[in-house]
Amino acid sequence: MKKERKLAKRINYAKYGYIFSIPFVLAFLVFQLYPLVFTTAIGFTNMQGSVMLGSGLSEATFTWNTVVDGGSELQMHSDVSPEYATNRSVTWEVIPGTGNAIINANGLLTAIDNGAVTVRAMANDDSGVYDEFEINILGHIEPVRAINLANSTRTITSVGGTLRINAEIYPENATTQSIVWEIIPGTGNAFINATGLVTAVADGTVTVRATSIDGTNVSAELELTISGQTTNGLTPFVPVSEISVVSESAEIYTDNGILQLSMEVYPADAGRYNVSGENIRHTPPTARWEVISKTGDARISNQGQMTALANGIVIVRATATDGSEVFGEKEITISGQDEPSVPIAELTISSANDSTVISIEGHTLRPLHYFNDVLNSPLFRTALRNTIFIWLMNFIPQIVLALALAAWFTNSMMKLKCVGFFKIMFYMPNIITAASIALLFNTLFGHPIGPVNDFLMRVGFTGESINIMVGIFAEPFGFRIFNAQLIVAFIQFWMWYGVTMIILIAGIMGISPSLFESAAIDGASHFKTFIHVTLPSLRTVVVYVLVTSFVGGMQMFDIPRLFNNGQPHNSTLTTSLFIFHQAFEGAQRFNRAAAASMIMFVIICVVSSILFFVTRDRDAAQLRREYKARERARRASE
Amino acid sequence: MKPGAGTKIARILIYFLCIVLTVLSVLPFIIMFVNSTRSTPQIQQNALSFRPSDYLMDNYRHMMGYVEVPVLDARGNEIPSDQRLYNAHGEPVLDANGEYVFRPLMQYERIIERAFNPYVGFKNSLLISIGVTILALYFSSLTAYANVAYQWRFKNALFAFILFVMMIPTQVTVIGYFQFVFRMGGTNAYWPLILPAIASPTLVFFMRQYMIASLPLDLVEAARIDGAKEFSTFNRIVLPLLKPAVATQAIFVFVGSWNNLFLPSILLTSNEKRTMPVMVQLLRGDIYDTVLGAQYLGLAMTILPLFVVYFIFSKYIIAGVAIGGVKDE
Repeated sequence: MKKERKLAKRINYAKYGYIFSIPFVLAFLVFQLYPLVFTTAIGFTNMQGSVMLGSGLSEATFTWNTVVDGGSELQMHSDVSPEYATNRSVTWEVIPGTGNAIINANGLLTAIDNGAVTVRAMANDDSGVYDEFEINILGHIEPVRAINLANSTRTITSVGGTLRINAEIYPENATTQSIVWEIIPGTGNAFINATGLVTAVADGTVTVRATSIDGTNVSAELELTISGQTTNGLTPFVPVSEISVVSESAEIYTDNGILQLSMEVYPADAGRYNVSGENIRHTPPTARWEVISKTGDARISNQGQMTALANGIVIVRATATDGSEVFGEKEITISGQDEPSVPIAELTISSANDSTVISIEGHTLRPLHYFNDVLNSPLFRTALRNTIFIWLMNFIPQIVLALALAAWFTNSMMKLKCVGFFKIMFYMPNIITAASIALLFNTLFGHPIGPVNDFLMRVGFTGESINIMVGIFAEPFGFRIFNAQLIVAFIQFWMWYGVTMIILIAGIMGISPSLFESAAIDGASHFKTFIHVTLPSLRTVVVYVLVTSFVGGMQMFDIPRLFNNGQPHNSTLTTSLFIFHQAFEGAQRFNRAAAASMIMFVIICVVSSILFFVTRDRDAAQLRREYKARERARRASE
Repeated sequence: MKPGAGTKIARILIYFLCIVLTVLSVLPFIIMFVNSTRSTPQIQQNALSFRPSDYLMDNYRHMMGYVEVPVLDARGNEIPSDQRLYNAHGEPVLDANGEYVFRPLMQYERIIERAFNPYVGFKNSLLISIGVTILALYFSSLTAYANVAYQWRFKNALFAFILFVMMIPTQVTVIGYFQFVFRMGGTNAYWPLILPAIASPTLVFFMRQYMIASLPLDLVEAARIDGAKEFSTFNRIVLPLLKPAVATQAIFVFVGSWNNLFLPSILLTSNEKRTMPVMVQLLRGDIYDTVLGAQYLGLAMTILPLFVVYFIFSKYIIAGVAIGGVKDE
């Protein structure tokens, strides 16, 4: 009777099992399952719009399998090494192949003709370093056939007045709609800016010319009449036509030496004139100064006083600020500086989203598009290589050291003292925020001032401070190992070897002492005991450590991000960092980020399963199978 | 296996290795603390030093944005102090009447709003971590209890499912989670970082193991006989029994949440809501390149709370790791 009551009670209370599990299940559905499904979905679709972080949120729409927008433009990027090179600027050019394109000074490539083109970026600092990248242009390019400058107003009558010229491009669906504006002075003069806004300068007629940049050189002209610019026969604004930069010498040869430069302007009466009553006030033209580093470096003040920074050649340019954009240049040679000029050692160019194709009409999005995109992306492949390499460099020393320490600390013969103290000290780095540690190490390896550099110099390892973080450690068989990668691996090792050791110690403590006793009776040495008794018994623990370390290692984010954000040269770019950059920085390509996340998920699952399967306890599994078979046979015969 | 000369040498070598490792574990932090108290010229001359100096307050002021400004009286004029003003040669400066000129009274005012603020970071990290710890521990215990104390149809299925969920790497769901939070308008709020803690599969796994081993179900039966409702049984009887397990796990959950960088970086966008790890990112560039001591000090302030927690709870933490409550890398 009591049993019945208990049974009755049990059935009654079962519902609480469900009820108490609800919060967990609900939270899991909302906060993990839904996002997981969402991530997969984003990886399969073409999510439009962008989400701005840290400011007002803009829209994000969500569509399935649409056409990816085409276009005739592709932005190129250049990555320069070393980071502290004196002149990091590059010059872009296009070498036509079967196709043709043009590129502007900022690396924006515009397609002109179908086929393959080679984009080349050359370092400006005479190092001769360059890199090339091939782009394929697909799709139909509609050339510009005519430009119509249709302005009903063709006069400017007020002083310094402006007039916007409207350009109509035929046909309407011309692939490239960009045009360049220029003014051909006639009896009068004017300026025109990139958007076609004309500013009157001198009375008379000028011709506005618009030319298409798509290689067809189609152009159109329009004549404008300008009046009202002179008062009492005096033109209020005389633009600069020429500037020459002059200085006492063309060299600086003292350390941090100074050279004063000035400009000579032609015509001599350039500038602005203000007439008020009897007085005519003349404001001479001003210029902005800049230094263009070639092999050397310098800085220049607003008054044209130049201070040398690094040996080599620099070009000083003075540009008139009156709207004429006229400039003059002078080459200055710098020597005797303490700060050496650093040439570019390496240059890598890439395109936006690692694309090798300009597809004019766009293309239909297939479901696996972004997965292919990411898998083929050189940047993702680099990130994956880095992640695996850094994890291996972290885990292998870690497990070896942890096993050794665990063996020694649990060795009853050794009787090591202060084990508790050592445990506390070895575990400590794990509890500190990885972000702080990464930044601390970044500061420690600082250049030119940093504790590590200090130490190396004091020990005599090097004469002057090295920029350790950008250096390359070794280059076996063309595979480059950067110092930064080793440092990041070391930080991970440093943070986790204590944890691994403690887990292993716990595992060893759990081994039945009788096993050790029988090994001792058999006369086995410490080492043999370790290999043949301890390690096999530790199998599950070691697998646990291996799998958790692998899963964690594949998601390594904090250290690479705070150490140097994946630099130098994307050497410490991990897949997590790649995902973060893709989704939350730059063009905010969530699709690629989601696809990359799913790829990492699959990799982690597959490898974990393999590890579990390979290291499974075959004997136990065999025993279980035999037991199950016996049970089935027994039940069948009952 | 007799202890002999070989073992003695081995012991010395092992001790030596352990001491080296101990120094390695501590050295970067020592350098950090020492450099926090030194001035920029001192650090430039000799960045690796163990002798603290007395620039701690100066570095602190630079870090927090304090600038020395003159004290002004009611009419807005400077008030002279009793310190004479000296020129570059060390001679006292005299005014037109040949009288000594005195320095104005100065005070420190927080004029510059620096983005990095360890106090704000600390407050936010504390709020979020406490929320996470409470929710995670309570609901994990509840779910584990449901799995242990009752017999119901999907009990084992759910547990197997929990094991599977444990394997899902956290970052896989981040992109989708961000979009989800964004659409709910939850960016720059605390709840997206706290509520997910209700579903903590590793914690459920651990609490279940502990309950199977140490929870006497007879007590639950007894409470039922006494007429107690199930929920209050859980709260009043079961939870107190779980204290040891909860205590150890609480530290891990708390520290794990405190050190979380990825999700808060994405979800918290304004300065006032930033957690400590996110704050650390702001310690680069700007004045931190010119006043190096301030950078070291900023790092020290982000790390100090963890040091304190660790050295108070180190025994429990290490015991807890041994039992197996570790977050992955």
